[in-house]
Amino acid sequence: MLRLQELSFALKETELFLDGHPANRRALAYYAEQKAEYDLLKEEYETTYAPITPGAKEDETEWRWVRSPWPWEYGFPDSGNVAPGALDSGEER
Amino acid sequence: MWIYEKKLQYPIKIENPNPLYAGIIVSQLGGPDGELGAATCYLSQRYSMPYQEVVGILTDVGTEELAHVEMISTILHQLTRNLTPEQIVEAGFDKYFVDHTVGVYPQAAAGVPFDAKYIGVKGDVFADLTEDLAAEQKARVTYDNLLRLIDDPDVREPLKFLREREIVHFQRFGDALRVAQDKNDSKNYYACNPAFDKLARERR
Repeated sequence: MLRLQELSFALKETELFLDGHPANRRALAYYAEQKAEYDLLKEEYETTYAPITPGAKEDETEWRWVRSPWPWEYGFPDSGNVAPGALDSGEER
Repeated sequence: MWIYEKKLQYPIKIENPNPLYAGIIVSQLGGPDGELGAATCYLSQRYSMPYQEVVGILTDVGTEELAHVEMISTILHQLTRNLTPEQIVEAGFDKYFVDHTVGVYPQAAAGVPFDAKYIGVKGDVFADLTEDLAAEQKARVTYDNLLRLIDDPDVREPLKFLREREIVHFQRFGDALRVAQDKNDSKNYYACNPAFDKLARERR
């Protein structure tokens, strides 16, 4: 997740710059490079851990979107760092 | 984190500007039961909500409300294109115009600017979800009232779509309330606040 956050921050910074300089080739090349790595890693993360956007890598048995911790719960599914007392899994009623 | 999609949730193409309509529709942007308040309310309630399914509903409805902010803003923009000062005065749009020209500013129809006093975040599962059910109904009534005052089909169609969404959201918040009730003591839902009380967390 940390690497995804780094890559998406790089993309955001470059987006903002490109908004004001739409023909800057160096920025365009940098964006494409970061975007390729981001897309690849995002696909891997969503397959292995949890969807980042609703509907990403869902399966036929359960809507995975509501089955992973939310970002304010001290961690992400790949960090093994979810706080005790984090959200109800939905099963343990 | 959010990502913007460069599209409207429902098509809007208003042929004839009408500042009178803009002056009343603006309430669904920044009024007491407007889309901006709804988005702010639901997205803020998520942090104290202890149930996965309910956080999902708050997140996804809140996000859709942001798309509705954009739809209302688009309607306001299209209704205030190419106006003459005479048309502005005639429609009573002069009071808005003098402060905001034809920029899109969140206020109620009566001119009161958007205020967080319009929204409710109580930090209690049942209080918050009941707030949301009422908010959807109040927004639905506001759309009903707008549809009573507006004839132009170009304006009515997107408003009718938004009105339908209020009803669907009301139903989804009904699902959320059912989920919350199922996870609590059916003999006394208010025995504790599961968003706060430690006892309730342990019992879960």
